[in-house]
Amino acid sequence: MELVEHLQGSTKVVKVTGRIDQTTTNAFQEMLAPWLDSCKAGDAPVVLDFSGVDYISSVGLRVLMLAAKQVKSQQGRIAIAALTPVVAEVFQISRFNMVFPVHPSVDAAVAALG
Amino acid sequence: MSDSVPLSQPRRFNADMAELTNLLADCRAACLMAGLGTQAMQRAELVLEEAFSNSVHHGYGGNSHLPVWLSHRILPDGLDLVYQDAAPPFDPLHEAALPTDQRPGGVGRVLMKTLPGEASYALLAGRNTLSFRFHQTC
Repeated sequence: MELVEHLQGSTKVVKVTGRIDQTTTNAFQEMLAPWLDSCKAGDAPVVLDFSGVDYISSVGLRVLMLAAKQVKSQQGRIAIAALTPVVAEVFQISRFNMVFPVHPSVDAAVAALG
Repeated sequence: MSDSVPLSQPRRFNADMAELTNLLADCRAACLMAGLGTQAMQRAELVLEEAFSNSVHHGYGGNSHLPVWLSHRILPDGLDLVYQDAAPPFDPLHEAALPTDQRPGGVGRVLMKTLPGEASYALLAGRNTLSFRFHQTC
């Protein structure tokens, strides 16, 4: 599991790489926390680039659910971009795109949040 | 979901989340033997992870040395996975539905029901038995 940030304009783009399952979800949650804490009203928006995530189970969705709630309570802006096929299918089945803004590409997410 | 091809001998795993890696390794090996593509293999792993998590956390009430079993059947165009536990009878596929208030609970059961080409439940010899079919093309 790896999270690496780069700036695209004033947006923080965090590229997530790895599987998000029962064995990695705690690490993912801990690694994601600093970006969530800093995603507040008036601060830079965050895009989670999921192009390197080919697997997410319901425990991973739970982490994202909590992330969405935290950022919403802080009036921050966050989105997910570039889902791989099976992850996109999981999001669609679970209707998770109604919980978290999802965009087809990082560029589209940055444009939407900018 | 029956077929003339016999099931493999069931492999036993402890109902402990630390065993998930071994369970999924068995799943991947079966998928490779059946010629499933990457996405079908990922679906199979997801379904098994959800079933196993359900057994550990809800069926048995936490990590234990109680048993779950996995067997498989290679088909001409896919793979059957048969997953069992000996927890109190419960059909996770029955009325599996997303919660209406956007809580994450219930998502795992919906994934178990939706991701495979076919999914069914039976109580066989006291074991909760989940049968999942994955097609090479799905």
